[in-house]
Amino acid sequence: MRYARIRYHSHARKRMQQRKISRAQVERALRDPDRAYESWDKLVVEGATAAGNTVFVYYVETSPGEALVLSVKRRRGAPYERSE
Amino acid sequence: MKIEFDPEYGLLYIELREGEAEETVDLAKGAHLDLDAEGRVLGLEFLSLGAFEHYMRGVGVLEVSEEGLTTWAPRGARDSAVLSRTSLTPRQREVVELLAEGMTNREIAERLGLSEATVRQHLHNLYKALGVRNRDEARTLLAT
Repeated sequence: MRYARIRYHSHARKRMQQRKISRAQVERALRDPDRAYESWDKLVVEGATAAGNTVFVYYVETSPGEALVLSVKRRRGAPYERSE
Repeated sequence: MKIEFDPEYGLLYIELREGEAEETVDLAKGAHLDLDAEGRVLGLEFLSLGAFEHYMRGVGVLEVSEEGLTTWAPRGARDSAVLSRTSLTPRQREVVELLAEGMTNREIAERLGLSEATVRQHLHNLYKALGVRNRDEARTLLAT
């Protein structure tokens, strides 16, 4: 999944700041996701962080090669490891 | 409570202030909760309009429309200043004005070209918004 351009919704920027998720983490998840699927009419990628957690990126493709990041969140544990 | 809402992408965030959280969070199915170090809820994020609407109806917001949140009234609020008539949708305003005139559901339905079931739904939502239990209490409140 390669996006030539990645834009950030203001909602996503706020959540990134609030949840202490960096652009690098988001863009790494988009570039090389561990999981990719759709949820709530949005595209989702999950990427592992260096600390062993998972970053979730919710986004839409606004045009070919362009992603608009809508929200992000973090969960403890690596992708695929579901605690529930 | 501060609400950020983007209907285009279905992005919704409710920032809770101290004391607002706990009684409403149990309704927040489908939401991501932001917690502080002590586990208190600071905010709720919804990525689905459906889940958000369910939540907001539960806590007293009636309408989520393209224009945004058109009516806000905490459940149980009896202060009529909380729910100004101008905050209602045009249809709700029509219903509430006919209710205040003393019309029955059937009369309101006939006047507005709606089914009685639709009128009942509008009234149900209005009662919740006004924090009243029935039309008599609503009329009393609207008359003040």
